[in-house]
Amino acid sequence: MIDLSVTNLHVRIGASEILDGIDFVLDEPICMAIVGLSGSGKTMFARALMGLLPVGSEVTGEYLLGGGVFDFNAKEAAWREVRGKAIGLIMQDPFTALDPLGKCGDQILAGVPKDRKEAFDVKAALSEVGLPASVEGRFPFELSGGQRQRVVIAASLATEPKLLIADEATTALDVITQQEILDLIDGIRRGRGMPLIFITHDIGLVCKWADRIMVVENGRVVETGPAREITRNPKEAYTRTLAEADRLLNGAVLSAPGTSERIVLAATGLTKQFGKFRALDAVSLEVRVGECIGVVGESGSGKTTLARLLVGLEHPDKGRIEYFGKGLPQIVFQDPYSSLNPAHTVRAILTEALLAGGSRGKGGTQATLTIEELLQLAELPAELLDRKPARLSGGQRQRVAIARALAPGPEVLILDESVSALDVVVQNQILQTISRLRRERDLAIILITHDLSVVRMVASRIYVMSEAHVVEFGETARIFAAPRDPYTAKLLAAAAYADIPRENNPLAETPQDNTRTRNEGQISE
Amino acid sequence: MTDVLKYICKRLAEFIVSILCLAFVIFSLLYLAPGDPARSLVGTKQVTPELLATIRETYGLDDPFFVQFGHWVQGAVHLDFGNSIRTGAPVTAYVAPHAAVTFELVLISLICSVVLGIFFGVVSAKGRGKLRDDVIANVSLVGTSAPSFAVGLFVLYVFALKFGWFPIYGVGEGFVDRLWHLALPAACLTFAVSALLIKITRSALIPEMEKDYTMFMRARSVPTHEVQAAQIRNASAPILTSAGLVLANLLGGTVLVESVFSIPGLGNLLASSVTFHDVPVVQFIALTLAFIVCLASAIVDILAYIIDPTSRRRRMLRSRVAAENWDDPANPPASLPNNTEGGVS
Amino acid sequence: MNRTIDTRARMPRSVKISIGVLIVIAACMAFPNLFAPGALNQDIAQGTLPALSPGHLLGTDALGRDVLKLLIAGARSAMVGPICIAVGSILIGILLGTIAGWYGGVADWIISRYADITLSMPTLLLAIVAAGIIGGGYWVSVLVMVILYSPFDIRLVRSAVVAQKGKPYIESALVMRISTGRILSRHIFPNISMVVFVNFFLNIAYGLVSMSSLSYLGLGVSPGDADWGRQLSDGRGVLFDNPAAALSAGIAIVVTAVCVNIVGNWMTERSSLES
Repeated sequence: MIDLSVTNLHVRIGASEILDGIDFVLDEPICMAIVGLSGSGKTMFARALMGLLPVGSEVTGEYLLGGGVFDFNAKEAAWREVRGKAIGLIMQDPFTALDPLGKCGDQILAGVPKDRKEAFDVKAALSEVGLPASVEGRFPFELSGGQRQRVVIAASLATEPKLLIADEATTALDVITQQEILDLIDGIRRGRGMPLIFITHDIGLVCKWADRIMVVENGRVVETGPAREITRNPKEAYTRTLAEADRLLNGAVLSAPGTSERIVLAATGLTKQFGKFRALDAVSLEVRVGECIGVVGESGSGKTTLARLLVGLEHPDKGRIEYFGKGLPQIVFQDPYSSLNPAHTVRAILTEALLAGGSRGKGGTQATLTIEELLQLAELPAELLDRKPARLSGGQRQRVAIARALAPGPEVLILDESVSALDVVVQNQILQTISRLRRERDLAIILITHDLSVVRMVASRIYVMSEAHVVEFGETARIFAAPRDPYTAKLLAAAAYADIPRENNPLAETPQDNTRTRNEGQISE
Repeated sequence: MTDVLKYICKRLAEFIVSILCLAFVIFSLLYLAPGDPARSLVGTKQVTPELLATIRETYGLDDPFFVQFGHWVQGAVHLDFGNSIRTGAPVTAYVAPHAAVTFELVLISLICSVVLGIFFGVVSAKGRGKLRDDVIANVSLVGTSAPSFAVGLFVLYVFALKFGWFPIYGVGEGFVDRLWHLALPAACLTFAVSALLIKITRSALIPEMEKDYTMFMRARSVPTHEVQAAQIRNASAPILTSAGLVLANLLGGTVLVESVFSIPGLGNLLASSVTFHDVPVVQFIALTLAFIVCLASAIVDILAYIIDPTSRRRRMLRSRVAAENWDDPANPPASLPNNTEGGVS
Repeated sequence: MNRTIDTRARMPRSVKISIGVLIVIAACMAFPNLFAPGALNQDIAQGTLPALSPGHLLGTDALGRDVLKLLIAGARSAMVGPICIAVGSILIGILLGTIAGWYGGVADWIISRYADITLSMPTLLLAIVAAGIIGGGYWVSVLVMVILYSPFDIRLVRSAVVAQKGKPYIESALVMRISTGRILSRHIFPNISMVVFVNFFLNIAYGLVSMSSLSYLGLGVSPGDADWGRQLSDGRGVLFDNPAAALSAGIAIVVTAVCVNIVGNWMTERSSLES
């Protein structure tokens, strides 16, 4: 156990103030969460504590560590007393945190001080993080993401730190793995009586794991206090937005059955093989007019391949896709930074899409829409028209991508993880827009995602995919309440929110069964 | 292990194809040269119709082109490249004495370049943004931009003519004298080639320093030398595989530098044979040098493959990587075959 | 967004100087007679004069010609070839690289193997041999160089096209059934043009070094021609009497190549900051 206190920490890189007067105290072995959206400065705070800020950063502030005063501008040699010895770091991305050419055992051993190296038991360290002894001789590329993150944890613990920082340590992992890693970290923390600084953007995770919360925005502490109090009763507007965004994702429902019984897109027995790898195996699916369906699965389950087949980017080896609507199904991809041509203005992007729809759309779609109407549909302000994508925010870019997809007048819109790269607040706004489009324009929506809370909010039916198959499909409420397939059950259990103790769970206020009817109108209007 | 063998076979096959293509180009030169090939082969001797007929007979010049190529390759395999036009002596016997001095020059320059290039490349990358990086980067910029004959002439003027510290031409007798004679030309070649290596090393190393694993090692107080060793190991593949390029630069530069310093080596002989249109000699030297470059590239590629555990398993892993990334929109399956090929280069 | 403005505003002094030097060289190339009238006029009676002789800042060469004027007149021969090499090579690169990168499959395999094999060959060596044996002067040398340089450009364009091809904005265009020609011209090329242009620009420097190496060996240009590489080898004979004759040509080549490289590297840096 080690006391850590920081007073008035300022970090400046070039002209921008990254951290603007942070005060922070950690003096008991608890899990302290630092919550904020991307760019809030939470990662830089962790780096500042370990002297790992980018070259050229200017740092001021007082740093008390283990009873002694430490200088934020200390030389590399002095930081060695902090890094590893006092504080251990678990990094975000297990795929890049390990040296690709080093055997895992050697990497775990590398940080162990010389005098302890002889006695250090790598196998014991591996078993502590739940890995078999054989991992010692493996290279990172031979392991899965979750296994690598376990090696990272073992390597961090090997230096025997007195405090652990986990910086978005599970963000890059699948839900099920995420759950396992969080359990592991929590177990180790409790077992060693070690304080943990848990950095995340996900207030849902915080509810479950943290004792105290510090909320950061633009390099400032917005609010700090016991986790239960803050998530239940946020005082500051920013925290409230964060919490509400999450509550909305987890409780509110914007979905409704299709506006018509007419089937607009039907796929039967889709099978796709890439070399030896079967990406899709006899997958069938249908969508009705004005209906939103969710396709849920972990990475590798085949859901993206399904999307690519439905819009014609790949051709199925077997099976049939029938489209009964106007135009052609359109798609919005995940990454807002590459979904728009960086060389074109918004106007050029939309004009081209309108032309493509007008000239090529089969079934007589007259390009009745104008650019102005597209902007309105996607809720974009007109002053963005002559900007290039570089000058738009992530959310704005995805809205432009939606507007572009609407231009050819499709009856089916596929959203392939289209909101997962965005902040929760922006996610909600875009999901609301999409739900409105569904209702007002009878647009059928296929929402492909790994995020259960998103489908629960907007989809009326769900297809659960695993290893190239649809393992289960049905009404959203039914699947959440009584999953039939064991995989679905596991997936639901892993979604961190599922088993938050009720009295501690701000999301538990809205019972699942009757929410749909009750909330539909009121939230989406 | 079978995977390594498979790669070796693939790379050797590529090497053989390269050499055959080169041989074809080099062989065609005789026909691309203006005039009657028979006449070119006669050289300065008096041309009589009988002599031309004999030449046609012995060289099989009336055979179809590809039959001739076949014969030529057959001869080349047995190191028979015909006779020099200038001297009439068998090409191999004529060229061989010139090889020793070039070999020494190239060897000295290669060793110096590798040592200096990698050393300063590492120093430069480590001190990026600092004065020493600026100085090294600028010197290497000049080194890569300056043709070796221009540098050669400059040092020849300053150190041999002006100060008289080094001989102006020749190769010297005995070891020390030889070294003294080769110092300036070797320095010129080293300047150019180490500059190239500095550039390659620096740009391979800097991205490694910014990677997550470097930060994670620092966060655990892993000793600095171990962090650097890991970075260099990760950067070694592009450095190692640049050996072909380095050698090609070195051998190309030798031709010019030998000509500046009047060193009677292969390069100088090649240059003078080119002007004399002594085609068999040119063919032999060009093929030999190209052979060395191609062989070296093949060997280092294989070495890099064996050293790098990820490439050793790449083939086996392809299906698994595919399984993991299939649903990642950043790696759409359509581009996967391309990426795995292109990723090596 | 702010960063790009910053970098544009802060053009390093070395880049400014280099651009200035290149403008001067371009002017010499375009109007040699304006700056150096009668450069090729000989005054053998005068013989070789050292540098700083009255009326001849850099002295005269073996034929009594003014070295400075020759240097100015030589810019055209020294630079036109490299520029043509860069243009020809990039055109081949764009054509074959786009075919390989966009269509993939067999065409890609053939083109990529061709590039791989050509790339493993020693360029300068082959150029010397081919240009020397074929003869035919300056333009044959340029042609040989174009063929030997193009594999680099093919590879560059190919990988740039492949990198763009997988991006969502291209896939969106495909989903909208926008024609291939339009996707290539309106979407892909604008986004790879900077990389291609920078490479084209840097190729001029490499071309200059290669072409002057050939002319130094007497390939492609006749003795006495106004060409930097040739002047260097001509000047070697009078290194005692007027070292400036050879050294000035050498310095001209080095300075030009360095300037092109500085500007090219700066453009690379800037474009990577912008993206």
